[in-house]
Amino acid sequence: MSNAAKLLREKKDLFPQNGPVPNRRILVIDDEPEIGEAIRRVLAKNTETNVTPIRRSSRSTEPTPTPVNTANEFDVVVVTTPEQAIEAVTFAMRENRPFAMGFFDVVLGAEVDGIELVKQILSVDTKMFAVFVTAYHDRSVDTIGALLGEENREKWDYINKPFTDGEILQKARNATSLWDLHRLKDWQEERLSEAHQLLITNEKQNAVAAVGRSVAHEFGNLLMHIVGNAELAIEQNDPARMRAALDVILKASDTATNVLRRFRKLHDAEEQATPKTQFNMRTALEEAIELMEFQFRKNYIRIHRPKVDTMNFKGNRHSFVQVFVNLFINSMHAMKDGGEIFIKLEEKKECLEISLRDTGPGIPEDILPRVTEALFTTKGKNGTGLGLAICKEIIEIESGGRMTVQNHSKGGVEVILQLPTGGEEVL
Amino acid sequence: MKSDQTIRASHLCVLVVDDDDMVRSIIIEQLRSIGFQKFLEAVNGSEAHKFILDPLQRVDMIICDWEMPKTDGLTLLRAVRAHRHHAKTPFIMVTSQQSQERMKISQAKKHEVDAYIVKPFRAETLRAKIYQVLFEALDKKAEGA
Repeated sequence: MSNAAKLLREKKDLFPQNGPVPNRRILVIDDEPEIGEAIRRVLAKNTETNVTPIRRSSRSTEPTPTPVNTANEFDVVVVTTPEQAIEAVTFAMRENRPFAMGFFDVVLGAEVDGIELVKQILSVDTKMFAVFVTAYHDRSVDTIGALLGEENREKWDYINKPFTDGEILQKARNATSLWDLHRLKDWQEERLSEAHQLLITNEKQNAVAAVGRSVAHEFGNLLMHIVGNAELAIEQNDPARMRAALDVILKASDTATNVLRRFRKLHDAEEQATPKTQFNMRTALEEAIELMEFQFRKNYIRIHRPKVDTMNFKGNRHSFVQVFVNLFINSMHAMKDGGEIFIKLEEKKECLEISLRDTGPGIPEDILPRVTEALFTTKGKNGTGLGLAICKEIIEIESGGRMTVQNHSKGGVEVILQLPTGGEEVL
Repeated sequence: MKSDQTIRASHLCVLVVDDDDMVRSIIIEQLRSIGFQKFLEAVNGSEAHKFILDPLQRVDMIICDWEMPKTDGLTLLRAVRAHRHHAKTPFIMVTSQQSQERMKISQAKKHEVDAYIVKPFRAETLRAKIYQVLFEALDKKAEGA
């Protein structure tokens, strides 16, 4: 196996299965076809040991030939005009076979020079890497940098003629490796983002499941009201008692309908995707309380509602219902023998402030700073460690606010949500 | 050996435990329709436990909801089974219809629940469960005698 093939195989080993594949496609543009072809011979497929020096007609000195073996390492396309170059890049993008890099002659003998061409190409393929090939030093590194702009600082390099085969080969290897590393990084970031999204979805499903378990229990009772009273009604001869039983049935059915409607809302994907709209925070809070009402009753949790009836905020209403449900679940788990939750809504000058305080045992000071970290949990296998992390993400990233978790001076945990009033982030 | 003794429901005192007032009264109505006449009511396991601890209080059968605040059904079941006089008192556990309940039921079996019944249930189903556990209790008594 040749060194080049071995190197390529080793590089492929670095890439995860199903991940991005190494890219060895190179575009060469030079208005003098023989220069382009010379570079191709150094890089192209099936080229055996190459000892041809590359020289420009105007140069008198020749570089020392460097024997190299480039078998099967690169896939090279040579063009001679800027139009052909743009066409080749556009076609490659369309075919999903982008070039990893290109060698660009600076002086192309056309209206568009190499630097301008690279600018145009970067608007078609933002990820391609450029190596400028120049013999005249008519463009200094600083000039090229200034012309391409700060945003493209890491997307180019240059090589002066005369150059050896080895130099060209090394530039090609470096640039294509860079392309590969960037794609690998993009790919890893995408996977990370997918994993993150999956965790969030799982946690949302956990909250839905927690409410769902409670709803199932509540439904059992409501159906019991319906079945029991239906049996009573059938056995009754007294119209008044029969009517009373039927009233109970209707009431239980109405309650069941409402519970179901709210529960559907909680996990309705369409609702979750709703863009930011103006909504009343108090309504979102009431929705969360209603969803948890049964569990509150079961666990002897008393809710002290805020005095404020209206507090308008522009955001995703569903996300806030989610935040309140998560915070309620946390408080409820902390207050195993029952307790109270005090809720305040306050429109301050600089922000909207929501405070939820429970009467549980509080959080030990040493772990307090970590409670909003993803995957941190004090509930052992019963917790995912994502509840508060997701609340923090909804408040801080989605809504530009700030979430603080602290122990209250009167005992228990206080969660303070500060939200921007006029679209300004709360710092 | 299957007992051929008849069960006189009207003589037996049933303890009904559920935190939902309406569910409790429905179960009592169903028991009445089956022929029971003596009832005790409790809203949670701790209240029910007081009846169990009272030596003067007769409790012949317990129908108890699983999910209740403070002291749940399983805790009461353990306490009942640990009690000298009530270790064999028929105990019917009431649960809600959900997959999680299956797990709970298997847990309850370990603690010798006599039967479970899933909400909602009709009087006829309750009657079948009650007769099943009462006959089993009589058989156990007969075998023990």
